[in-house]
Amino acid sequence: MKCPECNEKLMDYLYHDLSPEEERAMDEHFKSCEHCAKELSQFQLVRTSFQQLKKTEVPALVHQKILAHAREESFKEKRSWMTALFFKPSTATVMAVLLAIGLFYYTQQFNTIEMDAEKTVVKVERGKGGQEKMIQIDRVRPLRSESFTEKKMESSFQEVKGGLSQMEETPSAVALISKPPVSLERVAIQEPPKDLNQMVRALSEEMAEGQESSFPSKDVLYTFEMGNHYYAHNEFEKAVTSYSLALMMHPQGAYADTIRYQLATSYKKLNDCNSAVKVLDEIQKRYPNYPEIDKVMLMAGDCYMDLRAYDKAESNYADFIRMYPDRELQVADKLETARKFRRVNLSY
Amino acid sequence: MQLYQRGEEYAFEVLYWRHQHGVYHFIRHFIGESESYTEELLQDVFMKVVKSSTRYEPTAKFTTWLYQIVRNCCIDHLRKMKHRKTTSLSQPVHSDEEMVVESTIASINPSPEKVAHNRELAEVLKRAIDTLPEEQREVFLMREDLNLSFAEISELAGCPVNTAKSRMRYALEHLRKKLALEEITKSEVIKGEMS
Repeated sequence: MKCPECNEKLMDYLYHDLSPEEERAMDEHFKSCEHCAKELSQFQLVRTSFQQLKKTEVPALVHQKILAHAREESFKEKRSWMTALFFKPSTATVMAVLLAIGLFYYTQQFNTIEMDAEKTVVKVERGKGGQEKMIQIDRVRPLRSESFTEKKMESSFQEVKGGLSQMEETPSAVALISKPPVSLERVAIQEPPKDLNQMVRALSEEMAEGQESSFPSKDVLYTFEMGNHYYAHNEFEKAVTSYSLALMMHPQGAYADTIRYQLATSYKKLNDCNSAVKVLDEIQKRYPNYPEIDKVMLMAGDCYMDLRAYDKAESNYADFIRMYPDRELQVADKLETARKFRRVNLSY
Repeated sequence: MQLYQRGEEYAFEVLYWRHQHGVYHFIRHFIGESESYTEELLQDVFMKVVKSSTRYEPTAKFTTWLYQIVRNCCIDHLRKMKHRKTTSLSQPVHSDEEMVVESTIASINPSPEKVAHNRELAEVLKRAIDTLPEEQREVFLMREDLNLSFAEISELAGCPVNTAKSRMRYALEHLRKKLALEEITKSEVIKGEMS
């Protein structure tokens, strides 16, 4: 290869856009041409120095502001849709009649069962975007009807819940639920929107029965987002629970790599390096093309350093340099320290 | 994005966490101004994503669509600032970014000379990026901050791939020269002091 050709391909070489053969040819040229090699190393130095400028994180307050605005926007959108629908007199009347029939049906169903609890208290939690979740507080025990299982009860609650959230917009509907079959305690809370323990229980039951996870991907996203929420509020234990749960739902889902990375970061924040390295090693094995694999390698190296597993730390740092030679400066000192400590350890 | 369009608002947060870091740095380096402007623009960008989500066509790659919004926001901002033509005299000597560079370098325990040297390099580079012509700065930051390929950059910047590559090369040469110039000036000062 001659200098003009090398010159032409230099940008592609710098950003690893060449085929292995072309890269080898370029390497050969750099060995024999001091001028081109110097130019390359100077460009690499610019890039390495620039990497140092990218360490700043977005302030947590900015994250919160943006995400809150986004929620507000989507809430506004939903609300305007609901208003448009319910402010049409004809639609409102039809909906009210339908819901009244629905409620009457459920009231009848509840009345057929004698319950030892005088009233069943159900908590309605308002989640993001106005979504509601009903959680049973008092236990309901049927005395006569053996077939009326808790599961059925739960599904009835879900259906009532669906009706309630739709009726909320119309005054007539509010009047209808003033005498509900069960007494309702409305609790307006911001976060968290879902009962984690309830989801864990449901998931464990499914797993015990050998079923495949039936959680839809939106639940995975929901749980992942909860993890992010806890993480942003420095509640790392809860973040670990949420991320683990999201992984249990869909271990190989679309965001499994990102969730694992967040899980490892949370473990690291809790100084649980043992758990963190397990997850990090798994990411490296399963997702070698994960976009943040550089961070994964660095974090694994740091965790192994904390665990005094200097050989493994060294291998992670060395792998990083092999993959990102232009970022050698970033880990050269870490690698040196790991090597030094490993040797000292060996000499003992 | 398609999930978000279908009403799964949590999908937005996943997208946000995935792209916020790159977008933040791109804006920060592209407009070369204070943090408050960067944060304001970051907010504008993601608000535009929310508001125009219904117009997103799944045929386009999400990142291309997002970075088009980022680019437009930055260019609009620069245009506005050109009209004002004011220069801030109250810029701190050490910005947060430099402090972070310093602490990052310090955290890996190199020698004090190396820390000082790296800090200087980063400072010089930051100033040098501000002096890059807009089209070169754009290509350089798209490649470095957003990790876009030259093909994607050419699509966003509306120029042929080879033009994007040559802009990148000019940018690197400009930055290299600035770094080298600084080194020469420094060594001359030291020589002068010695004599």
